Amino acid sequence: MKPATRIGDKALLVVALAILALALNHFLLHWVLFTGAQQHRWFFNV
Amino acid sequence: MSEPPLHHGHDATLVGGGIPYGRLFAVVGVVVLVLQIVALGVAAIRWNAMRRQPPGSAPPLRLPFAAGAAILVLCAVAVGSVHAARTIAMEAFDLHRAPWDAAYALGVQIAAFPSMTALLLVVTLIWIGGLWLTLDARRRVLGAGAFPPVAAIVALGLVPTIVGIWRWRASLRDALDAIAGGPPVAHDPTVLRATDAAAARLETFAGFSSWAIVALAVVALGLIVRADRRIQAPADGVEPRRSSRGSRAISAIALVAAALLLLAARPMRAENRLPWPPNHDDDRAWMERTAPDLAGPDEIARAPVVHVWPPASNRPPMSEIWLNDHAVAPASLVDKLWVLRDEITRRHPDTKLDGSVVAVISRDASYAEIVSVLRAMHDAGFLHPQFAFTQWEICERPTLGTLKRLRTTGVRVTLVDDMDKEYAEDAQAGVRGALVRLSEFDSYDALARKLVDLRRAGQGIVLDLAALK
Repeated sequence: MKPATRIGDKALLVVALAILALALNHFLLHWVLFTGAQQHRWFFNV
Repeated sequence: MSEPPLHHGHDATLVGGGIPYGRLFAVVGVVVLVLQIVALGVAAIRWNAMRRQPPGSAPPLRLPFAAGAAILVLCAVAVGSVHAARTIAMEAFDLHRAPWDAAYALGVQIAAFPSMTALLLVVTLIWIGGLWLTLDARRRVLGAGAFPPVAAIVALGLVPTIVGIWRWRASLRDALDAIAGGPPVAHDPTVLRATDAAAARLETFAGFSSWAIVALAVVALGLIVRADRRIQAPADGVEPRRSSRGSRAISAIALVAAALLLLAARPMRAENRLPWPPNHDDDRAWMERTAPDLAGPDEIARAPVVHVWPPASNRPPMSEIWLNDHAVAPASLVDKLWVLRDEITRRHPDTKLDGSVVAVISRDASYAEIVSVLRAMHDAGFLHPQFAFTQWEICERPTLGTLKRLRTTGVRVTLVDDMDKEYAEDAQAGVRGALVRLSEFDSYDALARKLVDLRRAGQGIVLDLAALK
């Protein structure tokens, strides 16, 4: 295997895992904040 | 699923089974944590043995894979548990459950997030440690292609968000504790203010995490380039190719998982991004939806309430009249109001009577009786009636759907009669504002619309009782 290909695969893995981490961060944020939306919904009829 | 216990949610603890499937999450969490520790220990022993002795066969990846799969199971239990709590809240909103079940479901979610996310991060970091040691041991046997994935350090970038979730929970718990001793009217605004402030702070922490992930990815790329320069490519090309295929497969799986997470977050993001209409502390129970379908510009202040109901018969008294939920004869209303006024003055000797009274008048009530009710209010010293109206408010939410609520609003006026005008030597009895004569109308609906129009134009209203027919 050429060194460039080897580094390219590893770089791809870094980028892919970084995108996964960013997506997980985004999901966690809105997963938690949705509880706040439900809180607003609860008070909406008051 | 069994019926969850009813209690104050923010006191519920995860291990205590507060959230649905909380005990399951706790048990699975402990098992997965022990499994990760065992996997890390085994990997450390093998890695150490590999360093001391000449390499034989490469350590297998079965245990790290099994430990990784166990984390996915724990994730599924956490998501399912929160989803179950959310379903309870939604059913309570739709009145398929008791309304207070919503409080329970919201409270247990708030309590559960920090424990769940922190446990997941801890087991993931331990798993990465074990995987790292296993892959490093394999590298010593197989060559450069199996170099440990430094890319995994990007997971550390999630730490600020986890810290933010702990702070988010603490802010909401403080708000819920703070309202315990406060006046009821301040409960909802306090909680919603704290919810929004906590959300803004959590978004800041999530922003830190995003930057940390990018920075760690850059560090990982730097480490890979540096390490690659040191490592000689092995003569045997079979294993590196296999490793390369594995690396690409993991990259593809990671990208698919990222896409799925973004898709799953979309409806929640849409709901979280759209601002809510202002909260209102309406006490709509007494409105009974017979007031005119109008939106007055004034909020209704708390005051004695006089109801004028729709005609119950063709004989006088046609409209039933209530004062603070008790029926009164029309002729005795002024006396009852006098008694009430004396009572208020005696209970609050240091406070000047502001003369406010809420007039909840049915749109079908007899106009003559409305006029006599207003006369009674004036004569008893309640010079500032607030005419109450009801109107449905529709709110379209991206995920929570179409919501309706009955809004109660009002128009505040000042009552004057001939004696007031004579005393003040002024046509409006010294009160500034648009003069409206009761005699110009013959129905309450027409009067109410005129009052709303004037108040919407920003004018004060002086309602003249004198020119009665």
